[in-house]
Amino acid sequence: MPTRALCRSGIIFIFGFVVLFAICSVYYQVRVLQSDNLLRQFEYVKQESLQPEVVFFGDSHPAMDVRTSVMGERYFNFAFPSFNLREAYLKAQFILEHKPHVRAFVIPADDHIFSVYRAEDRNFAPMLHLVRLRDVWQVYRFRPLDALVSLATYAVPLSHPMHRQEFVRVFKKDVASLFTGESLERDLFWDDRDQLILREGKSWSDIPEGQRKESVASRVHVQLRDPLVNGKLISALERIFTLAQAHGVMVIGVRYPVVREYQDHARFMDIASVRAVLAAMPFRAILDYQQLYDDRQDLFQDEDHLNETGALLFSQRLASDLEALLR
Amino acid sequence: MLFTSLSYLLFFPTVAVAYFVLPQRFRWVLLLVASTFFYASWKPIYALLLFCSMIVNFLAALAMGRETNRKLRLEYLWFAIAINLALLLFFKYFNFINDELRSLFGFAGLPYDMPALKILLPLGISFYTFQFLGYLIDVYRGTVAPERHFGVFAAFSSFFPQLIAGPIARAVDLLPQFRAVHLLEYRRIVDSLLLILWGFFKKVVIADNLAVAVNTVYDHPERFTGLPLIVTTVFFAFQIYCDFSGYSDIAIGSARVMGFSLGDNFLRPYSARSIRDFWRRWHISLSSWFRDYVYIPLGGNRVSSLRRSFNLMAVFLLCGLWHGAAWTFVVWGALHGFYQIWGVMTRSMRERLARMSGLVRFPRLLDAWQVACTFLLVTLAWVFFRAATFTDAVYIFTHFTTGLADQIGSFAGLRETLGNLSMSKTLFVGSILSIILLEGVQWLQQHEGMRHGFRQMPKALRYAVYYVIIFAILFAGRWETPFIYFQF
Repeated sequence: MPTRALCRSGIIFIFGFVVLFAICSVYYQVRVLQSDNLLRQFEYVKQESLQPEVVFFGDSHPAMDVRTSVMGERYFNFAFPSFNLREAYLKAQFILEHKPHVRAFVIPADDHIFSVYRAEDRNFAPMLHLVRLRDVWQVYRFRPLDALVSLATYAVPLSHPMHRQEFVRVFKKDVASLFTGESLERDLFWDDRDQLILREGKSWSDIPEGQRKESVASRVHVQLRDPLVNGKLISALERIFTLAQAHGVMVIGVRYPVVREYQDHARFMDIASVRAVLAAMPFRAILDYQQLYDDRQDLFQDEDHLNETGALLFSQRLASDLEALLR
Repeated sequence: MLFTSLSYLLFFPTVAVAYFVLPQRFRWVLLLVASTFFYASWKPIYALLLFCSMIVNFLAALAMGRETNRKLRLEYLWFAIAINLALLLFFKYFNFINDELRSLFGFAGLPYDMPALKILLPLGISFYTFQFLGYLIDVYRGTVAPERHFGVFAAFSSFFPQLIAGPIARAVDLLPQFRAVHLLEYRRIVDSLLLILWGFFKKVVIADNLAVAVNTVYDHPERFTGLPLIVTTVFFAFQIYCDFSGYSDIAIGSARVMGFSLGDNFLRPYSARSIRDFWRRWHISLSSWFRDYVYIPLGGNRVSSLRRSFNLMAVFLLCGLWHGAAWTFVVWGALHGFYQIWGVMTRSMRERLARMSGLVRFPRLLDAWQVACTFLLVTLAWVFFRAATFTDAVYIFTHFTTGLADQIGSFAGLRETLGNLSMSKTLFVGSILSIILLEGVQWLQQHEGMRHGFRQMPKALRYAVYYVIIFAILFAGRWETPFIYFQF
């Protein structure tokens, strides 16, 4: 009897929960996922008309610093904030399958490229929108539970804390707009090539010195914390090289600009080991722009990203250097 | 395996269902296998260490049980205690002692070559060591018979709900429950699930959100003065309470679903009216362990006042050291020892003062005053518990009032100061409201009438309350922070 009562109550309770959760999921789908930055980028790259020759991969450094709109049609920026070399490999695989005119991959050669900071991301759910599960498995070698979490996230995004945080943020904004009467703010800022762009052109040199120091210290502490060389990310880069060589595609490394204070802090970290690994890789060339704007700190929006003006200027310089390599 | 992980959310229901499906005689096997899996999912090698400890303690207790010669029994006891403490000392205190010796030798200008060991503290070692010690002493005293079935003893020693962070169970209470028949009782299971839910709420919604501000300030206290230090110290008092009592609620609730009773570990500690009262309400399983196995054997209260003070200080120094191998924990323990001694010494004076001031005629006011004073003392001591170093703790103590007048002098100043806590306005207000909610719910929990009233409410209304809690856990909770007491 208690078993039956318990089962009945349990089923009713769980059913109620599922209904409420489904309502939240529908709201999230309509309000957020339909305009999700990453999914939008994936949809864009799937267009057959897009046939780039040079593709950028990586994290927020290329995503924010490179403006392909000023570089020309042959360039495509496939980088996305927080993405690591595992995802770069999967994206490269997709590109080679669908974009036959590709001649070069541009991979970040930054000091944090192999760090634990970049390696810790275990959620591969977004990649399932682009590549097959078995491809993902080859790169991640995930544990069954990680697979379960990522598949659940793929099927029901709100099962992941990251999406729930986003839900709360958007929901709060929507509720506030009901009271303030203000129109809902757009979350996305894209250029005409569906590339994420910055909303405002903040300048690093306008930020008070104390705040800058604090910001750099915490950024370097997070980004360059030990171990700086993660074997799994090295193996992902090696896979990219193998893939590129098999398709006759050259791989170019780019070390993106960072502010002077960042470089000063980074000197205390074991960046020599990272650079040694990168130097041993068969890059066509590594273009080092880390100190490019040491005397133009106004071109940065924060310690390791250029602002809109900086990004446009940098992209022109990068395009001209890449042209020379591609010739 | 973390209670707040997906693994546990899959693991626990599976074990609980299997527990009731299996015949009684196989249930200990299930619990042993489940507990081993639970523990080994962290570092399998340390499950082996736990298993070796089990064997030593099982055999030592059996030997004590068979031996009639008191002297020999005592030798067995000391032998087993020595092994347990040696393991604890090695894993938990080796590097601490080594560092102190290195400093001492360096100070004396002598060479010291012993390197620091890269050892990981086995999860829950402080808890299970104390459980073993309690069992051995009880067997020696004859308060509990030695367990003759190794499987049952192993299931008792590694019982997953309380293995990693307590409550520290007594053999006399928990061991017989492994042989008792636990039936599927609707009311018990629903109440236990609610307790688990409330534990989750305390941990991921209250504690982990408060941790945002606490970590911001306590990770770099030198960047702050005045109000942020005060606010985050108070926040930490609630963070650690919600973190640990949340864990205990999940542990007690999980055990109770399967019919095991682990006893209470917290009883509204911040409503204590004295430090003595506080320790009757805070981490009850540990404080009662120290009372029964250290304080009373040392003579307890039935000794001279000087000896009693020594006993109290010794117990609290040990209690501090139990929490962690650092001087900050020792000072935290010493502060509580001092509070207790001071409390005993000034009791009559305080009672006289209360009479003279007329406060005794307003018992509620007197209660509130005592509760506030106790909370203040406990919260001040938490500074040492949370600060990363002794220097940080001293800095915090000496900068509580620096710049305070400017910070609270204007609304803009107040807003700017609190804005530096890495919390949004919503989160800050939400955190304060959640503390109020916590105290409210705890007050309700103590009144059976209220609980009964809640049970009598229409099902839809009750379910709505549960859904609000679940959705708060899912959407307002933070899931990445481990439990504070895991480090002990």
